[in-house]
Amino acid sequence: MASLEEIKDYLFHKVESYAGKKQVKVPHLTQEIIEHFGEAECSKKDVKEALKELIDEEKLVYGYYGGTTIELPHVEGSANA
Amino acid sequence: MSDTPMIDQLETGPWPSFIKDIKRMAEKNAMCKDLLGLLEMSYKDKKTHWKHGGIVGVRGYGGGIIGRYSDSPEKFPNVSHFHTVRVNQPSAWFYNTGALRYLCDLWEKHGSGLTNLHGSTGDFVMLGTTTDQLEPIFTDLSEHGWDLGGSGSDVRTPSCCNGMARCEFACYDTMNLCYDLTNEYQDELHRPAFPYKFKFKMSGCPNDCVASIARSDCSIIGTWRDDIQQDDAAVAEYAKGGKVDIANDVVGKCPTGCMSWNGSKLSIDNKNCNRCMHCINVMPKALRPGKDKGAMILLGAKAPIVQGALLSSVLVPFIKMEPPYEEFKDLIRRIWEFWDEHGENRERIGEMIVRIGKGNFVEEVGLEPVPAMIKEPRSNPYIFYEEYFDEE
Ligand code: HEM
Ligand code: HEM
Ligand code: SF4
Ligand code: SF4
Repeated sequence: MASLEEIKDYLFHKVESYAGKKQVKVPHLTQEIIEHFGEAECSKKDVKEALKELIDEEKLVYGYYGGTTIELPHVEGSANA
Repeated sequence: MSDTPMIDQLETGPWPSFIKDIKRMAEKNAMCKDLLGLLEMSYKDKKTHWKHGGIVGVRGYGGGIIGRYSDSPEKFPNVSHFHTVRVNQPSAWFYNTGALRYLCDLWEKHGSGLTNLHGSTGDFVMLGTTTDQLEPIFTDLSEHGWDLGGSGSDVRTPSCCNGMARCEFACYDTMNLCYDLTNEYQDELHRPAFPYKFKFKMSGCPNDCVASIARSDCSIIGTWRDDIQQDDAAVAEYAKGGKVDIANDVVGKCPTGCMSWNGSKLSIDNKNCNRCMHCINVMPKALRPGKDKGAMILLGAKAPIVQGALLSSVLVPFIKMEPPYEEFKDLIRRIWEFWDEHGENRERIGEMIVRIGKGNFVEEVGLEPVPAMIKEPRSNPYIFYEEYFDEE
């Protein structure tokens, strides 16, 4: 079994790799992560837990782009007054 | 001359005017003042000056806040941010005056003071605040027992008709189910992880006062499976003096033609009644829903964005709806699992069902096909029975 820390680590780097390139959503991320570790090693529930922790630690944040996205924390371009 | 001649026109009709309301708030709120200016500019330029989306939310929550920024912060600095906060409304929108005062005061303190009761989502909608106010608002709400509603790809704030609290037609306790589902699905509500949004709406009977059939991915509509309760003395009372023209207005309008009236006796062929509520609505003292009550579950409504409007259609013709609603929740779990697996990005469950075929969907979520699984009244079932017969 992949540990929660391993999953979190991989998930975070996946999101980081998309930053500025692709608006990534949870179902897509979940699929990629399970593919990476293999179904025997990592379940949907594990990914959910990992994401929950990363969000609560504020390492990742929710965004919106035609549905909910996962992003690195940043100041909104539009917010610059 | 006024600074806002164009939007002033919107005060001239006989109807209530949102411009009037904003102007009243503008006397004490700078956001509202700038909002009027920005709106006037939009009318003049014939284009919106709002920008959409991006990151706004409170810690740990992916839903409940909808971000809006203006494209003209230099001209109208007080509305450079104008975010919407959705507050999860109480079941069936019952408030006492203390609760309403609290919410309005909170919003005057932290936002524009403008509200929308209620959005079609069901939420108590607070319009217009800035990013730095979001956490203080959320903290204050939480301390007073309130929570945010849904937005984005999550379970949206469930909503229901006032059911048993006020309505004799209610076939199950909509308010209790609404409260129960809201608590059961806290994670799904606040941590969006679906292909797209998912809405539950609950009506106590087929009158469907919350229009769940048009507005929710999962409509839960009260119904009964025995006979309409009939009080012949009360029927006679309606007939007396022609208060109700039973032949024309009741029997004549029964959509399935399952009623008859010989001038003194009303007969209903209950096997052919489709529970449309018409006769009961016309003669509520004489006719009532049956005693064996529950709900039907329908799936798949959505308002048009990508394709045309869809109404939800019957998935389970009858299910008992009593706490803790295990059978229902079990079904929802199977539905979500399947949608999660097979739904495409931004595809509502109704659209997915259209794409893969209803017959396939029914089979995948482990339901038995029944003739009641039709798209609308008087159409054929969408199940092909041959293959099921072959298997026997
Ligand atoms: C022609 C322009 C627009 C049209 C046709 C339109 C249409 C709609 C409709 C039909 C809804 C659903 C209504 C409801 O839930 O009660 C909605 C919701 C919403 N709109 Fe617009 N809209 C427009 C412009 C705007 C603008 C300029 C803003 C922001 C400044 C905005 C912000 C929102 C928000 C925050 C909601 C969600 C409200 C809620 O939760 O009830 N819209 N819009
Ligand atoms: C090649 C000849 C025919 C074709 C292709 C045809 C096709 C159809 C179709 C597609 C429908 C709609 C079915 C549905 O509601 O799903 C229909 C309905 C109907 N047809 Fe025909 N039809 C033909 C001949 C006839 C004839 C000769 C009659 C009468 C003598 C007839 C009487 C009806 C009636 C009464 C309905 C309505 C049924 C209902 O209430 O649902 N049809 N037909
Ligand atoms: S949907 Fe039915 S039960 Fe609910 S308020 Fe309307 S008439 Fe009453
Ligand atoms: S409920 Fe509707 S279908 Fe049933 S008997 Fe009354 S009018 Fe007819």
